[in-house]
Amino acid sequence: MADDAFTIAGEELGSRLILGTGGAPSLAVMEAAINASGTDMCTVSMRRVDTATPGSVLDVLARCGVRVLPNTAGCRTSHEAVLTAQLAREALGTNWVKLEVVADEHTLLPDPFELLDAAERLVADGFTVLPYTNDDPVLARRLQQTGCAAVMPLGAPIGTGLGIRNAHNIELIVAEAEVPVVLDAGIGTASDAALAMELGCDAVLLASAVTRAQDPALMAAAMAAGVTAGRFAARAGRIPRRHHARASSPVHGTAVF
Amino acid sequence: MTLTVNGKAMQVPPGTTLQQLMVSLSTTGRGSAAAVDGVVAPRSRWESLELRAGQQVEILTATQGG
Repeated sequence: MADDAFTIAGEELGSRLILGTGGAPSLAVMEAAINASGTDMCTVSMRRVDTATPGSVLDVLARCGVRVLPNTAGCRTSHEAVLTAQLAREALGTNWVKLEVVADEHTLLPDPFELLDAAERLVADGFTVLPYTNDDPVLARRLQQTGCAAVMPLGAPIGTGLGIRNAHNIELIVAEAEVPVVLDAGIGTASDAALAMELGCDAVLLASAVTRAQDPALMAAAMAAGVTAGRFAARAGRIPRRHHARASSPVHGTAVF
Repeated sequence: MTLTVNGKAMQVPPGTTLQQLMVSLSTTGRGSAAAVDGVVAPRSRWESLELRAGQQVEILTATQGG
């Protein structure tokens, strides 16, 4: 049974799992995890050139045949994020960007004011903007109104593995979204990814849960299965929750002893 | 003349172009981009862009990241 198509900005992606490449202990481990995940798109960061670094993440991504999605990780202001996105476009030849503008190192939570400002500027500059945002339905709405191609609310702060802390807010975001909703950050294990999809998200973006797992490739396969299971369940339509039991075996025709 | 390249002082001959700087740092491949004084310098302008003393050059490349 095939998964249904998933598109962002009119482009079809072959998987509803988007993988971040940060945190992998080596490029070889990262490559094995990408292949095991079946992902079609991976994020990269833009950093100062360090000619001492062996190998290139781009070579690995090219070998794996996946799209490259640059992010603006580490940016604290709209100005920094816009400039980083413009450099990424120049370096990588893509106008897609995962927009990240965080408020501080401790929480890594998005700064909503800087984020919205950067989104407006980048949309105006022709970017396909995928903003990493808080689990705030109002901010998600405002980001859509600026022309973002998706909204990517967090389940929990980056790297915490705490899962989806406010499932109700994610449902509210999904309910009114007119662009794809990608659950981004906070995923700890495969059931978290499945839950995101059951809540109605269109895709899941995660990094640490795979790259920092004891066996990254095995966890990548688990995440892929979780995303698929959650998507199938969301489409299948779950039974309503009931207060009392309801027999699944026939109630008529039982023997009388 | 002295430039600041990725936060460090660097001596280059007067008249050095951005292209020459990028070649000297082996950063001309796909995946690298440069900004001069906070403005992105498109690859098509590297050859003609003569750097001036005191300018700030940031050279970024793609790396592993969330």
